Amino acid sequence: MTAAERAYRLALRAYPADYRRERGPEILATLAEMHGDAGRPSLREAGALIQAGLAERGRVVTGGGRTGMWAEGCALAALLLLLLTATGAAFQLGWDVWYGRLGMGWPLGGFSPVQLEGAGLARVLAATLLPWAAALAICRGRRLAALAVALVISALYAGGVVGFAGAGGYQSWGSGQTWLENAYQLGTATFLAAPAALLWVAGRARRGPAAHRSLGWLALPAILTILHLASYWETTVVFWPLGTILLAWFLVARWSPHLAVAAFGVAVPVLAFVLPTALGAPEYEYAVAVASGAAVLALASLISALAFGPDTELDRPSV
Amino acid sequence: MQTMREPTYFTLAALLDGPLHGYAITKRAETVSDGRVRLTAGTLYSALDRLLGQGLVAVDGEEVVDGRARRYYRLTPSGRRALEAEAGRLADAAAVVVSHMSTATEPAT
Repeated sequence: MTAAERAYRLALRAYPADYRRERGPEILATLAEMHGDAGRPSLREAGALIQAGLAERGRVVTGGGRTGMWAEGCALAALLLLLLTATGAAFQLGWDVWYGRLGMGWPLGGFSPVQLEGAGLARVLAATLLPWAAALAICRGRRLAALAVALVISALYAGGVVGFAGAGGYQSWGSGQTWLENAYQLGTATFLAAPAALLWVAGRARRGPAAHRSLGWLALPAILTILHLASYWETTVVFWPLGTILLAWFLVARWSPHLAVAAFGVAVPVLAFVLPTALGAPEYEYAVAVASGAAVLALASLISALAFGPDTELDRPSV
Repeated sequence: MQTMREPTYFTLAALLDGPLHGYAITKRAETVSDGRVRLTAGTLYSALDRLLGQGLVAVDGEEVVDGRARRYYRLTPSGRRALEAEAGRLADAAAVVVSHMSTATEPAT
């Protein structure tokens, strides 16, 4: 096998596996005829394969239409938010166990202490495990089941804030708190309710069976964990890989516009969650940076989604 | 009516004389476009997938040559009509400019 064929086979990985099985040998044969036994791959050919492959992936998920773009973008945003929640919850739980106390493990370090025994423990475990269950349901195309679990997650937090104030050690929402503390809890509630809302919108926008998604998405918490651990070593080291991921995301969104919708769906709840912290403690640079990033991301993704959506031929690019 | 992109137009044009396989389509498209359109494999198969989906081309047969898979494509009657319509539209658009240029005065520089 020549270096060129190896490169083209690698570029073909951009296509969905089913498409690769069906079309891969024919495309490789055509490339071999076009370029003979040239040892060096053509960058133009490899780039075109990657572009067409990513577009094909987007088309498979969205069905190639604008409705699919918005529906599947919302469903993907819900999946990403749930995985963010799962990551944060797992971290919080690990932290609490390490220090011998137990808290409500909530996204990105949101925390309200609860008692260790009984219902408190059940709630913590549920909060840590349920986002995984909902994320798995989305990947398997079971949107209704995911919506039900996402609603339970929202209810757990609401119940924690409203119903168990004092008794379980929760901070209560309302009087006795500063507006910033209330804003913080409202932001957390928004963050946690967002997956349910997004799944509801996705279901309303697109009837019928939901698209299946690769279980590879479930590896996202591992990537976030590595980045998070790296941030202990050097805070700014997080921003380079994150920046690269976001840049790649937007580049790919040119051919799979539902990614821009998903970015917007993630950025707004993250902003709601982080903004009160950034406002309340301006010296807390991390929160300020995340809030600024989320604001830019929300704006950029909205513009992208609107720009790509109505005017781009969604089914196949460059044809 | 949605206008056809250039690679799509020349992919269909390449099939006017009969069924061709992928590589032959790229060569024929390059020839009929006077070397202007050089289709990459990614662009070609995106175009073919879409044209197959729209029923403008159809698979005409498959064979293995020198161990390589080949699939032949042919223009369908609706593909021929779409190509004729697009060619007519392009000709009309060109005629507007050409006829205007022959009567218009040179703009002052």
